[in-house]
Amino acid sequence: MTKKTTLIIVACALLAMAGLAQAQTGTTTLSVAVAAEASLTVLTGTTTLATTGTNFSIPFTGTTNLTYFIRTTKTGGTGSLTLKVTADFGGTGGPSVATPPSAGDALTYTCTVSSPGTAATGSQTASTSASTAFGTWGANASSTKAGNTASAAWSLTDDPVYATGTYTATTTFTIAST
Amino acid sequence: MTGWLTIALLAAAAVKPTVVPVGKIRAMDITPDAGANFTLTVSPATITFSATNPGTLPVVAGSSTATASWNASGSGGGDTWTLTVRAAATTFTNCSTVPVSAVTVTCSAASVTSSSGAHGATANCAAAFPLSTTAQTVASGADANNTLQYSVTISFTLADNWKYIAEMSPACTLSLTYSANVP
Repeated sequence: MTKKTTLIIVACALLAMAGLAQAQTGTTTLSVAVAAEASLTVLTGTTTLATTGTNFSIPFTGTTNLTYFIRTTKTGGTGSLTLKVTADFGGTGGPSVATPPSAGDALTYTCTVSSPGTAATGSQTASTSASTAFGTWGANASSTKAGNTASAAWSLTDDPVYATGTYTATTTFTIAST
Repeated sequence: MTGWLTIALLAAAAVKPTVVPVGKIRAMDITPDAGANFTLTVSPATITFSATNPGTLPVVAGSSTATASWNASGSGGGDTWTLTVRAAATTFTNCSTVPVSAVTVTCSAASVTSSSGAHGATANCAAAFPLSTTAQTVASGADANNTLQYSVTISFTLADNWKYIAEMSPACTLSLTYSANVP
């Protein structure tokens, strides 16, 4: 009786050993440095300014649409979107940002910036000598993967002294994040 | 390891204590330790990603591949060995906006060799998959009744995204755990 019991135990042990899986583990640490960054796409490559007025009371208007992409640092991060007229209206007798033909003539714009950005308040006057405000955002901000929307609604004084013709200016948008 | 203890307890319960030779019990007790007698080595210890601009670099490669290797004696008989990997958390530490699913795990090479020559074991890479907290198979193959050297090379990529909040310091980290299972 004693011998038989021992054999059963050994048989169980061998069966257990045969089915025993060996398993060991190891580790790796993945580390990612996510840098602050900003990017911009101007959707309206050419914005045509036009007026519906007949007595010079309604300015030339048009809208430029943008998509902006940002991410800022959790603490202390910030960012801005600005614009500058880098090439003034050319030609003789036409409108000019740097040297308007009449007092009060101006190229102005109002901004729309979707969250997390905040648009510059009120009407801004474009300049050829300095960048002007468009939008800002703070720390811990990020756009969607597809980007967020922004737009500039332009207004150019309709001055009777403008010589007839087509005039072109170039505006450069600059975006930055930290 | 859990399966083995259950069987041993059942065997002991079936035996009358007064008739079991003490020496046999001791022999059984040391068996589980011998069954898991190999070491899984993973190198390097840390792999880094530099996520600079999702617009110009939407997919970021890791700084290097990882290699998992171990030597073990297989049982043969067509049993399957596996190497799995899982993440310790659903997001990177210090970067809660970066999900582990942004990391794609790709097995680039898997091999089983034996110093004694032909062995019949095989090694196959699994298809690439997004990382998760659930263990997923990186590579597997048929085992053989030899002492075998297993090696699996793994690459990692990170899908960068504007929605990730920037964080350079402290570092955003994630611990991965590999498990090598040999029948």
